Amino acid sequence: MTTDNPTAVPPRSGTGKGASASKVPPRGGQARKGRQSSFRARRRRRNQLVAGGVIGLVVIVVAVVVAVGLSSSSSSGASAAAPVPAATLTSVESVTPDVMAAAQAGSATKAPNLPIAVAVGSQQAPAALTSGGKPEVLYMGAEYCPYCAGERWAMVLAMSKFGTWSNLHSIASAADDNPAAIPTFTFLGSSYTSDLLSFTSVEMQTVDRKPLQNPTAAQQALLSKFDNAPYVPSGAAGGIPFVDLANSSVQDGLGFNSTAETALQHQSFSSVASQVANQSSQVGGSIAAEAGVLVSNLCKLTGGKDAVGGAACKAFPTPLTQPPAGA
Amino acid sequence: MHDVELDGGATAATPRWPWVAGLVLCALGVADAAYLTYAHFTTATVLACPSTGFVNCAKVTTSSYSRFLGMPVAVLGLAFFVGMVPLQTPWAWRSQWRLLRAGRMAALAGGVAMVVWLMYAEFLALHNLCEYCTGVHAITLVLFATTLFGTLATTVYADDDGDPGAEGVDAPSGVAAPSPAARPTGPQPAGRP
Repeated sequence: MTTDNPTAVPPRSGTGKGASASKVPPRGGQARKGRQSSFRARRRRRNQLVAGGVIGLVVIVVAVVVAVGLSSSSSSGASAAAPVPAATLTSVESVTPDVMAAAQAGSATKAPNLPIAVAVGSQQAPAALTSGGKPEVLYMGAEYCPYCAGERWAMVLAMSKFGTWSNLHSIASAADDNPAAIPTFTFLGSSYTSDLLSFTSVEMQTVDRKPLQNPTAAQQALLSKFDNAPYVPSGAAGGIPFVDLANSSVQDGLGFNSTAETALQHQSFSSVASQVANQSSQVGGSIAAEAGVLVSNLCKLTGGKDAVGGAACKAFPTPLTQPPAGA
Repeated sequence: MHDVELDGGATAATPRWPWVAGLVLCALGVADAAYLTYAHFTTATVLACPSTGFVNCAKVTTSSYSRFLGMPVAVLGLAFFVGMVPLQTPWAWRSQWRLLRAGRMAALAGGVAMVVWLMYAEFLALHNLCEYCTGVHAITLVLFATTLFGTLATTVYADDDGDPGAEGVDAPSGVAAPSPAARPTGPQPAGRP
């Protein structure tokens, strides 16, 4: 190989038509080499154009997904979760157990009238639901669900008497549901720390009803068992929110009346928070009453212990729910 | 530049940038995917990521889209980048073995398809963004681009017998000419006798 052949192409013998036509010697034919080189260069440019096209196509697809996603996010801004300010959470949690008990006593929807909050009973009760050696509270719901939205206010209030919430965010339930756009918390990404209880949440769908968190097989089994008769009226079976208090009592659906729930529509999160705190409205009273039902059942799980110096379990010395017939 | 051996023992230089870029991107991808895998199996709250509004890692990594065919996508991503490392080594880039080169591009095309699916999940289904996931997506897209152009730059074309109109083929290992991009600039070592 000579140094004047920088392409290092070992040309074949001159049997090709190009070689014979130009009468180039079998080896070292400059014209033939030039054509080969030119052809390879053209082919390489063509491949690079194709590759550039492929990259361009990928970029376009990615850009379209991003652009459509961002535009739809901005047009449905209500679905974006915002952190709950500490002062707002403190305000909600300021409702005392005595206030809850008073609200419960005066509530037209107090526990004995609620078919949806029931003790599991002894005959069909499975082993206690625990996690980390503590009784486990399991919540299963969805961000779009208006009744989950209402129930979360009571859950956050009730469980604050046994532990500490962190990283809670506010959302609004689906604007196209009925009731519509209920301001609430989402449990997604939240943390609950307690020496007395553990808490697990499954927000199964987004505000837009897209899949969000999948329940485990064990959680699904609990939902199938307890979100059915005799614990739940047959017409309400399978509904959410579903709350399992360590397999000791369960609740399906909203724990306060629909009038108060309807009043929550299209309100701001801070407005509802202030009503819960000062008990000035039907909304605040209903949420406090439902929180009392939950506290009474949680006290049963903790053996009468709470995180507020015993005040919660003193206000609710006995569970407010009873086993349904046949359980 | 490093050398690729040609038929007859001749060598031709190929560019370094494909494997340098490939290995750097794979290292970044392994680190990012390993972090997401760790977070998946512990708790999403270990992710140093804001959870305010649109950027919300926990919402993305705990969503139903965090699994594909039952497998955590973080694990799939980690396996993808670990598996890509040997395909981005200098040896792999020197090789003209068609199956290896095609397999490398096919794997990356699959990676790009997965990225598009996961971006759909983030932007259109969940309306939330996970910045670590986005990092993996960006690395995958850039790796796809560098590998695609690297494959073109390091492919050795067969001598097409002087017919400019004929379709050239990718040469099997050790055949024919180096590409213009891989063309040595100096005198070439002599072939075997």
